Amino acid sequence: MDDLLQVFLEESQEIIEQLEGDLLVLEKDQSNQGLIAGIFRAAHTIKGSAGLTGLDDISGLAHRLEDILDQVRSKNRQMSHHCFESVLLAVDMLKNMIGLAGEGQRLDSHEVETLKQRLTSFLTGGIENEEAVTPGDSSSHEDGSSHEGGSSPEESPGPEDGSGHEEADFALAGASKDASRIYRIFLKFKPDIFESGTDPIRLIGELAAKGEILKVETAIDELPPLPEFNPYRLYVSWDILFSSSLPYTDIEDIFIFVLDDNEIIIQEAAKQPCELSTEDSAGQAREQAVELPPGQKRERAPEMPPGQSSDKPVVQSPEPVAGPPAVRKAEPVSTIRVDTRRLENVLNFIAELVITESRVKELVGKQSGIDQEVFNYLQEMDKIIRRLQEEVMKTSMVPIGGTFTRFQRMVRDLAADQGKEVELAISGQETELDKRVIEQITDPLKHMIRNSIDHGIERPDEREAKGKPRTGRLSLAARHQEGSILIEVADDGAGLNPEAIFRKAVEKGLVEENTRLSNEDMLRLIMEPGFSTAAKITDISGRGVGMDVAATNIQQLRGSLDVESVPGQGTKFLIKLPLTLAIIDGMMVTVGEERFILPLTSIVEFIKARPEDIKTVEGAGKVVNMRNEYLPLAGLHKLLGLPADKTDPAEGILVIIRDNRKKIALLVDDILGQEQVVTKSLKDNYEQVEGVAGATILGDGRVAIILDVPTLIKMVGK
Amino acid sequence: MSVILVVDDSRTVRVSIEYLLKAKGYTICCAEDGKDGLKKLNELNTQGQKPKLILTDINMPNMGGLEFIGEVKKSAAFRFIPILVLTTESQESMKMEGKKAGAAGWIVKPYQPEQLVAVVQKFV
Repeated sequence: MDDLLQVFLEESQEIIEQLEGDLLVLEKDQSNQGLIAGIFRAAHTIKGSAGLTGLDDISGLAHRLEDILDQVRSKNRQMSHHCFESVLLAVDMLKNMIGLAGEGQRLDSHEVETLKQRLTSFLTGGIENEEAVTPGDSSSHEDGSSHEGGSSPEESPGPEDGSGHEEADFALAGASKDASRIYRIFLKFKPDIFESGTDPIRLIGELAAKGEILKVETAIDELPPLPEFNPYRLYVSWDILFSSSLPYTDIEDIFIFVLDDNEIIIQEAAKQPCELSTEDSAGQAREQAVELPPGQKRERAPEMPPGQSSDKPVVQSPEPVAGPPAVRKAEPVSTIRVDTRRLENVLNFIAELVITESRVKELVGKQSGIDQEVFNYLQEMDKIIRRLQEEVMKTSMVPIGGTFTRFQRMVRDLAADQGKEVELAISGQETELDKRVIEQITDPLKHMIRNSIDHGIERPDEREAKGKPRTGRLSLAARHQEGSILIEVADDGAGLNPEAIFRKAVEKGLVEENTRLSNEDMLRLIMEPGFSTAAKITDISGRGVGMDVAATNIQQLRGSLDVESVPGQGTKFLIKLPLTLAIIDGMMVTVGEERFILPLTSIVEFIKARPEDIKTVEGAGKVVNMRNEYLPLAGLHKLLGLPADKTDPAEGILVIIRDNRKKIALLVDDILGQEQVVTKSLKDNYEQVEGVAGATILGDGRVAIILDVPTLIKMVGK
Repeated sequence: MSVILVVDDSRTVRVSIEYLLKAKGYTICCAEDGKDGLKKLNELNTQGQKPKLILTDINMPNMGGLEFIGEVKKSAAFRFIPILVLTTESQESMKMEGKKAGAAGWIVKPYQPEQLVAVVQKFV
């Protein structure tokens, strides 16, 4: 059953993201029918699938949400501000509950009940009212009351009331045990009813279970003489007098599958005065049916076209036939869900395949007089494997749109909290990234957005005074660029002041006062650990994590973070990420016999140093003068304790590598060239080794270590 | 022991239906499409376990639900087995299409567990 839970968790997380985004759009325009239908369906699906998964608390809360949205949808009512807030709270709580469900936990039921009651009170008091009405005497009906109370009697509930209504009826049935009704039910099935696998006796049995059969008259006048009798045909019909406390719809439900093509007439002959149920469309049908003499072809009330109220018990929520389609970002694509571990296995095997294939190619290349045909097929195979690799890589890619939409809510809340007006513009949501990258980029993006709203975008009056529009603009954009993904978080706020940042960094002891830095490097100081401009801790992340964490996270993804800012005009964060984590663009270098891969993203440049540029500083080891910038210098052989061909920095090659603002010169023997390599984790076989990010198998079957630049730089610092 | 055949190309649907109905004491046999469904029907039949009910999806690869129902209704051995069509909300018309093909009823996905069980109990 864990499988199903897993499926539910994934599905509901996606749905709820969409739902939240749609709700925020709805807040601005509550008349968008397509959107409402979509939101309603989302709440509905969560209700249903949570029920399937046995998460009744989630299902229950989603049910309330559904009821409220139903009022917006079918009654064209507008949610008041307070009601809307409660709906958003419910979405938050659902998210929370779904998250907890993943860990096998549940939210405190009291908390859920409180919110449910609040939603219920809006249903009873009217969702358009600002204040929730405390549930009074109507609360005795529990579940049912919310629904019944919400719909005014003259408005017939649509078919989409489905299960909600059913529950209401159950509750009512419990409350009205004594209010029995008398039904007269006429059943004349098609002679070939058995062909469909339907057994009329079962239906009558079901009827008997829902009340008391007072009298049955079986009409046998159509029975043929025995020789003509066909046991596969039905010749009899029934006239039943039946007593039950259940409402008309429940009785009709028994015959739901046979109503349309058989003569089924249900009349409510009499009922006790204790009337609890409101009049509904079924009631109208009932009155109409009473007019019909038995035996006559049953006609449906015009208010109930086929496939509407008769479908009630099983129908969850059919789309309103004329309703416009929900607003969706993309057409739904047929998908299957695959365990990510399985995908990773496939990726791994493909990587092995690529490696083996290049080894075969190398071996074949060494043979003399190779058959041209073999060679051609080898080329062909090479092409196919490359394409296969590309396709498989794509399977773990997901669009970033979902993550972006998630921020809409955060921006709205954060801006409202600080009395700011912020508009979030999103573009490039279809850009696809490795799922693991997306998961790990969410937090850094959150920090940047929070930074922009906290410190970047000014208050409306402040903006007006500066001649800017009152509403600040925050934009989130993603796009492909040269085999990487670029994500931009930009605002049109106050911008960053490099001098102020520098002064603050000096104050915090992050940088020497006499250090000379370019404007760009001064801005980069905000990514330094310990530099946090946050005046107060906002509750979005709950903790005052600075930009350094964001920068580190991005670095761990082998990406880079840059910041651009124009004082008075705004700030732009630029995140560059690799398309996938499985393949890395690296530079192969050698030390002695060993080969190492340095990720291209962390390489600034290569230099061949002159002996006079290399100095030894007391207590700081060697440094190299690169265009008047002194960089710490270390030999890779020394850091890793390996023999090297060239231990003199002036002889070997210096690779300038960078981690955020820190740069060092790394001495290696030689550079072999740029290479795309498939990363293999060493963690399964070794402990985390300092300075090592992983390993890769080269075309010739040898192993090369992939170096981890941030830890290498730290090692030099020691 | 009543056997129910579930024909659906979605594993989630199969898993969830199997789970729900197993809990009610039914034996579930699953098939991935109409073709597989016919195969499973024959297999079950040779084991003397003719299903009491068939639940089938409409949109499936290889052989869709309507064609599958048609095939079942053509077979002398299976034509009286009630068939329920699994439709979704967007496939309103499929209920009637299914009935025309010979289905006894329908179940709309997503369903509430108790609804699924209630409908199944109408037949088994």
